[in-house]
Amino acid sequence: MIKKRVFLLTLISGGLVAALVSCSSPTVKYGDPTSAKPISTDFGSNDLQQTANSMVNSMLTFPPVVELTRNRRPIIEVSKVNNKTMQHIDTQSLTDSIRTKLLRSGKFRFTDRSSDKQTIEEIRAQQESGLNDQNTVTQFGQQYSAEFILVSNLSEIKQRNEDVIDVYYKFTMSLKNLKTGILEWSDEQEIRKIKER
Amino acid sequence: MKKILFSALSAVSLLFVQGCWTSVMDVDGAADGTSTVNFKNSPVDIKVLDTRSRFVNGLLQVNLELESGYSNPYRLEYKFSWYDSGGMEVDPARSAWIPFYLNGRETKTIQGLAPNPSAKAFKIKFREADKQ
Repeated sequence: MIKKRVFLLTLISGGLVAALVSCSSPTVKYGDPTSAKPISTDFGSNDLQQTANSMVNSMLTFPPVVELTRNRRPIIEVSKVNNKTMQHIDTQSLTDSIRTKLLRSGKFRFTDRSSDKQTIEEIRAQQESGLNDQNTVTQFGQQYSAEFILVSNLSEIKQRNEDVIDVYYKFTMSLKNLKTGILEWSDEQEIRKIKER
Repeated sequence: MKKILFSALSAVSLLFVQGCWTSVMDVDGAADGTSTVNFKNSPVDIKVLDTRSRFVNGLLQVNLELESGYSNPYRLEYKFSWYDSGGMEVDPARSAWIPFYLNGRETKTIQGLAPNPSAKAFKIKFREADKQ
């Protein structure tokens, strides 16, 4: 009887140790890139994903934009985000996510000013290297122009005392008609992150 | 004394094992607005009050009205997955977990938009945020 109890107690203790080890042992592993768990109050990967998601959903369901994209795919250029925060944030990554989502919706087409240098080099090489069939060479001055530009700002308001750091982020994005100068759509995404001791 | 020790050890063991579990809930739905709620492990304590869906410019839009079953603040995360008419997932692994905060007994609406026109059905996964 005593042996049985000792055995049971050992079994439970073993289970407890196993549970402790499985919950807390330090390991290196692949993480979920879509995880929402915040590590700090800095602008993180999930903040980027949330913001991109929110902006794309808002723009694609805004009635004048729905009307605009009903029968054609307007051409858009995405400008660099105006980062007004005190942090170094890869805002290019944020606009890349927004552009990718909008492109994959099948509702818009995009120009890309950031790859102009490589484009010019390639066209020049086609024309001047003597390697290409001149009937298939791309000529300068034939690219389509963007009809709209996406402009955005990211700002933060930080408050802190001894126990709490409270950071409020606001991302604002607008779709501007390049010909008329009119803002066709605009929206904001707010994120609040609180760190408590 | 031994009984108390035995019970205490069992309870602590259970707590640690429970601590590693995640409460998960899925809502499966179709473009016509029909939906089913599936619980896995211990249930997430929210009630789905209403599910609506429609097509906006060819993209499936889903609206879910939820009510917290807790009287305290409740931190959750949700994630949309989208499926085409053949049941294949559209743009898998692209959607992110979105943090979602409910005050005690609060009712809130969440909304999702399909990534492209091929999506005809959806799944929304919920999980408790603090256990991730």
